[in-house]
Amino acid sequence: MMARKILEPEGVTKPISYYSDGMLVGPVLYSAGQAALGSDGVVVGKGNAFEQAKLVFYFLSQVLKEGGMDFSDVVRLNIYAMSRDDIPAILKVKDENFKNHQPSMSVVVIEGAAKKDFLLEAEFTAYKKPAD
Amino acid sequence: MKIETVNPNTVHKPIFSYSHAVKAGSTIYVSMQLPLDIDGKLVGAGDPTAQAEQVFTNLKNVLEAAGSSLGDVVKLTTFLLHSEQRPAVMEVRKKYFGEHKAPSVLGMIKDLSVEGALVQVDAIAVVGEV
Repeated sequence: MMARKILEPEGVTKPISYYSDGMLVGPVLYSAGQAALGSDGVVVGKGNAFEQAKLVFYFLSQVLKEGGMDFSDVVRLNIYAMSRDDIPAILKVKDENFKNHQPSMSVVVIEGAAKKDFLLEAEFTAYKKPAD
Repeated sequence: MKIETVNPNTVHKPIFSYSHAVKAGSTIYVSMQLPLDIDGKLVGAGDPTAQAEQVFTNLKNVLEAAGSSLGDVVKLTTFLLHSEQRPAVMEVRKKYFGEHKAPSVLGMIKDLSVEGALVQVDAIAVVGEV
């Protein structure tokens, strides 16, 4: 059986319910959905998708780091927005983080996430590069 | 494990910065497929059957470019805007998938990233030996 490791990195707001931020299964990392919740339980960047996205992608970067990876290892990215109008701002932050790496990606607009002020949620699957 | 991106010329260019698919070893992660023709123009305004035809054609083309096919799909996610259009979309899906019954998720959502789009799918496929 492949080794499994639960990832709950420092600097990422503790999960608000019964789940982990990420799980590493052999070389594959599955992440939870991340949203812009501060460690004090208050939503960061209320009404501002760009600010929220910055925190969301920071959280995702910390999950990757804990798994020994970075954004260039992501093969699949799913973004849930609450409004089509917010997609350009969210993708601007995504592009700043992913640079030239282009994973597979799906974007959908949903009615709501876990807290009413969340403007986006994002999650990924990543594969660790083999050690040289 | 070999990781490669797949962006075939049989499908429109990605509408944002992403790849149509990423192949990680034998697993293929396919991005959202939309009712856009080869030039990226919306097809079948208001017509779920015509849109589904384009969406599944695009999915098929992406999978084939990755050395795979619809018969290799192990997980299919379908998003619709209107539940009453489900039968029309399912009819097209059956036509494309035939007897292959991939595990599927279906959700009604508020909106898609392209104005006028009624249906979007994404998929995970596994080809050959895992």
